[in-house]
Amino acid sequence: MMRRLLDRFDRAFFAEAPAERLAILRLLVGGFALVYLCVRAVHLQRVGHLPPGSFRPIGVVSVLSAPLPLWAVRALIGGAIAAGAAFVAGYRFRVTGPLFSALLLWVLTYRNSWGMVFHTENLLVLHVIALSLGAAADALSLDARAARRAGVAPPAPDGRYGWPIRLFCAITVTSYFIAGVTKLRNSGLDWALSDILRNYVAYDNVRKIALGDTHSPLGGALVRYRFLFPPLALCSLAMELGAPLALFSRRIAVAFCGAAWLFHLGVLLTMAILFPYPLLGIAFAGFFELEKMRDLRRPRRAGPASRTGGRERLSQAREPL
Amino acid sequence: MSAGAGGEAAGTAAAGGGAAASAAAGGGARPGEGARWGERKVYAYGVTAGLVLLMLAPLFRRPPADSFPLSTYPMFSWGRHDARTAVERAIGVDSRGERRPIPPRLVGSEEVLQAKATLAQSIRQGARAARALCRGIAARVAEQDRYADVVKIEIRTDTFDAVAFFDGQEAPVDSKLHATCKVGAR
Repeated sequence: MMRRLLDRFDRAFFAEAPAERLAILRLLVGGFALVYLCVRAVHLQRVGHLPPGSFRPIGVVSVLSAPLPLWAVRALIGGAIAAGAAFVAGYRFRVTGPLFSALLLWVLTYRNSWGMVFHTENLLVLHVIALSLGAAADALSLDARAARRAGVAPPAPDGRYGWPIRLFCAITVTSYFIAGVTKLRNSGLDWALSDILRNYVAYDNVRKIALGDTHSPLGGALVRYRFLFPPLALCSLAMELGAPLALFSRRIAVAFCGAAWLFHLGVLLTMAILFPYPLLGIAFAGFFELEKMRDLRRPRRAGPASRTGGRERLSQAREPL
Repeated sequence: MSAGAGGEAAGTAAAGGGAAASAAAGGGARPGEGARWGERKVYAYGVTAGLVLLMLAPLFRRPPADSFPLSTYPMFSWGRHDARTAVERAIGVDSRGERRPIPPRLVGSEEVLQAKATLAQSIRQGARAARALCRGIAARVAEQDRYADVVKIEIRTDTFDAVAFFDGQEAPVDSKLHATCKVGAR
């Protein structure tokens, strides 16, 4: 019985996937990380202006006992951006993939080492690490182009392109599950059944107003309607604790992705807290057959000469999606 | 688009182990390919188990410690049964005595929570640290035309009833002044 279960798990974990699916995941996650680093570069190096007494190293940055000089912070951010470009392009990925994940981990951990640990980038870093340890550049990459020129045949669907995607999904659901367990541990079921969520929405908006930052007028207005919050809290907690089920069923995976996306939309609308990575859907991209996005483009290429044929292709392309 | 990876994990389980099957099936499989696939499996399981266990590890630490990127995601998880909210903040006071919040970027960070953490730390460290931060903020405020009317900076902790706040009771229910300093030569 146990043996059969393990065999089944093994087959599922190493189920074939096309190299393109993993490569598209690399492009999405790496592209997001690269743009994020570029957009936030000025802010990331500005931590150098915070009082040195505020330095509270965590994670990999714990090896430091004092802040780095500004030139080193800037050099590491620059290095991360360069390695990120190589990661996205799939250039010498066996080296640049792990290098980018290490530099991204360092740069973002350093940013979190000033007395305030943020939680908007955890999933991004873990996903980049997971992808950097798999064969994510065997397609849609400079490495793949070089291999083709050297006469290597395009890779066939294989288990080695499947397991990093399974890991990607496992990381996603584990992070939500941990958040749910922490709520239960710190507050019990009260978190979902009492005024806790309402108080948090009020608290978060008031402190933003008091600190002169952007707040959510909607969140402030909803605070008056006490009855709204326990159902919302219950749904959030159910989504988080039920997240691991998404690994075992296609339908549950779709429901989980939708619920988690709505959760982040709700957080944005009521607390003005933006989680761009999940809100853009990239955090959930591993649950989908990304290579089929290409099929969406095909009907547009069909000329007006064969209207009927065009419609047929359209329906064929949409059917499996 | 349909759910793939997660669902496929279950859906294609019966289809066999991908390359493992093709490698073992012989058709064109080279000697040693099965062993290589075995090594790959060990690597894949090692990486997967390692990362997932690392993620779960903070749940078992006592006391739980928040870190990055391994976290218990404790934000908004504590039993906040009370809507009272203490906010450490920097306030600008103009010549008429009117007060307005100094935005996070002038405290030292564009991130509101980072700015709040910086204020809270300086307050915890004592009057000297609070005064030093106050002077730093005053220097940055002095460079801003928008705050030309601000003559004094206060570092304070104001406590609000957050729910009542949105019913119009915006005044703090409690206040504590930690440091005050003049803005430039104005």
